[in-house]
Amino acid sequence: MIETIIVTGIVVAVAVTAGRSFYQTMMGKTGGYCCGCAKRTCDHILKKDAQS
Amino acid sequence: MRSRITVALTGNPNAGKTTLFNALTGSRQHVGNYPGVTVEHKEGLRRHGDYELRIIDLPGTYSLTAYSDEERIARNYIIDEKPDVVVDVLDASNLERNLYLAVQLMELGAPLVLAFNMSDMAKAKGYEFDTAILSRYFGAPIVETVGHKRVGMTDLLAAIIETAIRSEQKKSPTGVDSAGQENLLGPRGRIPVMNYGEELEKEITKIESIMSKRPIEGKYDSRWLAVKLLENDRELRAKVLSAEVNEQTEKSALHIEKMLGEHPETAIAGRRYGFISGACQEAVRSTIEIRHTISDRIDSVVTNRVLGIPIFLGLMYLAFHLTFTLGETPMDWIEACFGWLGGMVTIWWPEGSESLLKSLLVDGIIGGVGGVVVFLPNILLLFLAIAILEDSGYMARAAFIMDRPMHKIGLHGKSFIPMLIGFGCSVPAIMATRTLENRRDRLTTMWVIPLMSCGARLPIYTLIIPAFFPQVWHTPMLWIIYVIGLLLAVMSAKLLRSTILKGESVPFVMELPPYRMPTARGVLIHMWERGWLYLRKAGTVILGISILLWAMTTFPGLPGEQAAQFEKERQGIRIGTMEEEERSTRIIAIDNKEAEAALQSSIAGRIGHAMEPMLRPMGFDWKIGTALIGAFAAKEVFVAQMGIIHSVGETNEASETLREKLKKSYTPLVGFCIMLFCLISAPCMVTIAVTRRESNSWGWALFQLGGLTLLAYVITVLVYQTGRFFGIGIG
Amino acid sequence: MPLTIVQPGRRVRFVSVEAGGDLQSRLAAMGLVPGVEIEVIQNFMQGPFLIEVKGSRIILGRGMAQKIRVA
Repeated sequence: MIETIIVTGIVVAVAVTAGRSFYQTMMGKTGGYCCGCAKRTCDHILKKDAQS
Repeated sequence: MRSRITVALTGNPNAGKTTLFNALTGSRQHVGNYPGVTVEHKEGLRRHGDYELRIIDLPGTYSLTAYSDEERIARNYIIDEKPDVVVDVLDASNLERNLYLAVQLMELGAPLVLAFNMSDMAKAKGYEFDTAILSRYFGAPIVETVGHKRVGMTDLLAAIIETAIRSEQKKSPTGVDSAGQENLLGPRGRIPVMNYGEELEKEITKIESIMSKRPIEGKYDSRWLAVKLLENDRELRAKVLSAEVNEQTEKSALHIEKMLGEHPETAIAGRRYGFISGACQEAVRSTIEIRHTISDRIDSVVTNRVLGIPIFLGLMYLAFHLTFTLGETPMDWIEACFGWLGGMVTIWWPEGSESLLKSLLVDGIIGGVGGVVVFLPNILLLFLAIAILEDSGYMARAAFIMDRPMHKIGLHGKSFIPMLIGFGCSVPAIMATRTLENRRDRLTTMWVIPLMSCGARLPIYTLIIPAFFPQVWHTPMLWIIYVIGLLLAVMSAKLLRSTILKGESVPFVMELPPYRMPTARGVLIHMWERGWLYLRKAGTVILGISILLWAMTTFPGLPGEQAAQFEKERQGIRIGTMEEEERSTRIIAIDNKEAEAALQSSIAGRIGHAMEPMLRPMGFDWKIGTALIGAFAAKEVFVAQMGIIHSVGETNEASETLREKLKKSYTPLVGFCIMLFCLISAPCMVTIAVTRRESNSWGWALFQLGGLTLLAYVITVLVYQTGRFFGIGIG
Repeated sequence: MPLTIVQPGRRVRFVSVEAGGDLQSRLAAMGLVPGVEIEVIQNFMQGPFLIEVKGSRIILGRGMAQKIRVA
């Protein structure tokens, strides 16, 4: 029983996060969704790198 | 208390701006040797003494009159945002051309620092600079730097801060700084002004004199503005508010043409170079006469008319070969690790348990994500190859080599560079189209970029090829797939250019940077970043989607009566009289059938089955269908979902690898078709989103999505049906 | 003469280019102003053109090269 709850919880959480990030990506609101391409034209990596 | 200084880095493309930016801000970013890598401005921070510097890396530009979107970004930033300091990064081994921009910055009155970058190469070429004299000419401190070795950084920072302080003081009445030193500025307290010669100066004054308080939107120095207008700067002329100013500009332009026999733009450019020449003659000495450098010799081979393209294709082949051979052992190792991990996790549950959580962990997560992470070595190797080709400067030659074939389809070599970037990832490739001045060129290139198979599709090929084809065919098959992508890109571009995007092409002019020995450090850093980002993507997007797909593949599960049916069968066997071995074999068979049935009635199964009629003509089954849908989020998910679906449908801890399972279920022809479809069909959603953003049109992005998928469908069906008809690859 | 007929290895001087102001400025920004010395590096009679100007290497499309006059 508890397992089912855990599993359902995880799945729902993931679904919600995924839905949100999908919407953000399509609307271009992410401010740089990282596609893993390492070309660093994404803003949000830059913000992270801007410590020195 | 810290004072904040804004510093803009500008300069010609390939002068090493971005390397310098990295050296100053400590970030490890990718540096490419061709235009199109830095396409948005990037910011970084650096503390030096009491100051905090906000450094902005602008796209490269040759002049303050902008021709492409990139250049516009750079130019407008300097003019509109008015940073505290502008650092012009120059390629010191090519000084005269690089100084063209410096002259314009000087005229603009920007607080300037000149960084003579690549000064090691300049020295190697035998150049010596009298920086004191040059400083006077340009009204700016000069620092010799070597960006990629981080030489000269402290001096540069000092110069930046000094310039910022001085420029602050300029706004105060005294022209002398706190140490009582006379500053570099001319007697007027203004920057040394360039003299354009009698005729031009006359016209410039004429234009200036009729400029009222606010001749144009925005604030500009009036002399600078007059020169720019005479130079016919499009953007500025469009902003002019007063009709008289326009009239005078026209008149002056005609007058100049009559008097000097050339357009004002050319005349002005000529004078600028004259100024530069003069300064350089005084201050630059060349001690070695280098005529044919190594670069030339390499180029004569590489860009050779006959050899050029074969060499290019050959290098691609080599890169793929390395990917397969060197990658094999690490891959096996990682696979074993995940297998072990799966085993360890399974132990927590009693044997044969049908726990959901166990399935989530083992089938969903380990099966899905593991299936993707296994390809890390291949990705690393591929990007290593790309990094070496880029850093050495070869990529720019590719544009040259491909120009002729590209011309035949109505594009030019310059479009090829974003396409090459697409071999890594479509997203920056699409952004790199900003270097193309012509919108139609841009749109066309954007559309075809996904056909240049991106890095995320590599796991799909690396999964399928060894599953279906003998070792000796591995590299050739991969090479064939990539080449098909390239050919399709070229043909589609031609089609687009001759139908909906008809139009003239912009004349092609592009600089070719000299060859460079890629540093081991640079290349390895790049690889490491790549690897890290791949893992991150795996741990976030792919993990998430895998979990969702697992859920869709597991729920709702077998309806009660069916489950009961299977149980009855099992009972039957247990009670019956059979050998122990045969009994367990039979039971396993039933277990498998049950799992298979459960799979079919899951959400994913149902969707898959609904899709089947469409999939059949390509030779695909519903399982592949579900994987294709998942791939919309990220191409690698295809591999993850194949892993999941073949794991969930199994009850015994399979000792078979995914490849073995695939080989059992499908024919090589289908394998090839899978790769073909994945190659051509729509890219991941991020790419579509970026297309929309860069093209500013939902329509175009959707056209890309739909068009590519349709193209993929048609071609795959054709190939499959033809293959079946002729009996190829179905053995 | 048009740039296109110059053989690789030869050095010539840029005279003019038949093009609109925009293009002229663009070329000027890359170093091509009247009087400047050009060395031709590659000329395949078809396809793009490679020259060296003021120390840098520039690729020109054939259409471009045809419009350039040198002496």
